[in-house]
Amino acid sequence: MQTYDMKVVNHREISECTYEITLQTDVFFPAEPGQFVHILVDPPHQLRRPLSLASSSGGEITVVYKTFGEGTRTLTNKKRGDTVNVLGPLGNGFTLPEQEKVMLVGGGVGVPPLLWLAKELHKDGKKVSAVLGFKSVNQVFYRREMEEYAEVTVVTDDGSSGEKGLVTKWLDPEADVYYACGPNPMLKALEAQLAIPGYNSMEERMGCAIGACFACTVETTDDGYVNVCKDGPVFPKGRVKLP
Amino acid sequence: MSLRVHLPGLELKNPVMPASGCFSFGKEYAQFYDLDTLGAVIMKAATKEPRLGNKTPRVAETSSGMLNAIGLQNPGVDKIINGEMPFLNGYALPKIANIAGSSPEEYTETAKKMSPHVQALELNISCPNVKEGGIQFGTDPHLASNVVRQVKKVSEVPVYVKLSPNVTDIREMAVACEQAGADGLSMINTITGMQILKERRRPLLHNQTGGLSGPAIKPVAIRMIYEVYPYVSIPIIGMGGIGSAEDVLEFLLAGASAVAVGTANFHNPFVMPEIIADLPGVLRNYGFSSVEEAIGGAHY
Repeated sequence: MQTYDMKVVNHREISECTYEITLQTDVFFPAEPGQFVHILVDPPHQLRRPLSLASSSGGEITVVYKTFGEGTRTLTNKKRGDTVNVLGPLGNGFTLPEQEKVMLVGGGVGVPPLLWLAKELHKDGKKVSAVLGFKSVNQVFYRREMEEYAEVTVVTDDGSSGEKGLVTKWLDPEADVYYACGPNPMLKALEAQLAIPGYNSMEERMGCAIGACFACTVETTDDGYVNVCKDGPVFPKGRVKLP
Repeated sequence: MSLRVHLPGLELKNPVMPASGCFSFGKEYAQFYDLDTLGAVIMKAATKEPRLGNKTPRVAETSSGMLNAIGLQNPGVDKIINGEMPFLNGYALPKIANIAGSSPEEYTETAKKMSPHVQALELNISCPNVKEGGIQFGTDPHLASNVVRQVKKVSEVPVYVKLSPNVTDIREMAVACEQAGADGLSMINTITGMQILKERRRPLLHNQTGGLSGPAIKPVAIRMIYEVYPYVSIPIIGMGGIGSAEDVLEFLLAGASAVAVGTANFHNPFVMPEIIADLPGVLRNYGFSSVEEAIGGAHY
């Protein structure tokens, strides 16, 4: 395992407080959909930021982040040509489905890893639907990108874009497997509502991101406590007692 | 340039080791480099029974540091010996077991089981993150003496005591531990802190308080080691915000004989091998020809 000094090749605000950054290294970056990277933020920040991969090809990766605090705000200062240190790829990615009709459910910054997954599923000839939830119209992103691979339904809390309400109201009844990434209450509601098998990609505050510090622990239904970073971030539906 | 340090139970080829809790039992960091590069390894805290730890969030970043409230999550001493140590035993480096407990009996039980498998014990009487994780032993000199004495009776290897900075006078604690038979001291554990999530008007960590670590606490660690050094004749393993070979030298000068690196591993997984590689040059720059020559150098 190693760290990579990557060059910023693109960095832009894609919706309110949401940034897409594309980084490049000369060597092959061996990532799979659903995996994440741990990105170093400039001093005085001590902890890296775990971010899901929205794409990875050759030595070029794209991640999307929201400015929740000072660390991510510091990251917005990175300009084209600057260097960012990347640890990864980390965690277990998505297991691709046997089933033919696949539904992706994303909430906010949970959407990016699903975009890469949609691309792979589309390549495999699967029928893909995507339900993307955001707070309001200002926060919507990756709609058009997702439409290349999936039948997209955008849902906003206030109805300012697409359908109104929560994603759980606008699910695809035809789907026979689902992949979800978003806030825990959303993952929980989906588990309760859907009878089909599925996978959750989870988010948690992390320290090391390699399984050594036990910061990102979650309780499983069958195996005590596990780490989101090393044992996840993708877990089959029902495996984790969602907090 | 000699980086060697001789401490009770420990022949260190260099003075750099990971701090307990930041390195688990070594497997994860062995993906980055050969663990035998390190001077020693201090394992994650072991308790008599398995512990689940606190609920998340367990970490938060602060200015030049981080708060953690893991809560001593570990699979228990038996599973550590049988499940975790075989991997570490594939490496020649000295192993130090950190042990924690809520009663003297719990400490002695764990020490008895663990000590035949390691070169030294680090007695954790300073975890700030569990109600019954030893902090009560770390803030009362009488309780500390008692637990040190009892563990010394059963341990087959030297015992280092990890002191809490959350006290008024750390010299009193250090002297009490030495008089009770401690072979060395580890200083410092984390400093109790808190962060409030403004949006929710609540402490961010589920445990409310956490232990502050990282560069933010380095001056506190240096000060405490400097204060304790003249009062004890047992060696000190220094820790608290170390991230470079320059930092290591500062700890040596304050009075530490060896150092442990914690939070910096999360920032840069290669930080310890880098520090070890840089150390000879840094020592030379400041006019030293060995690590041992620099120990306590700020006192003479």
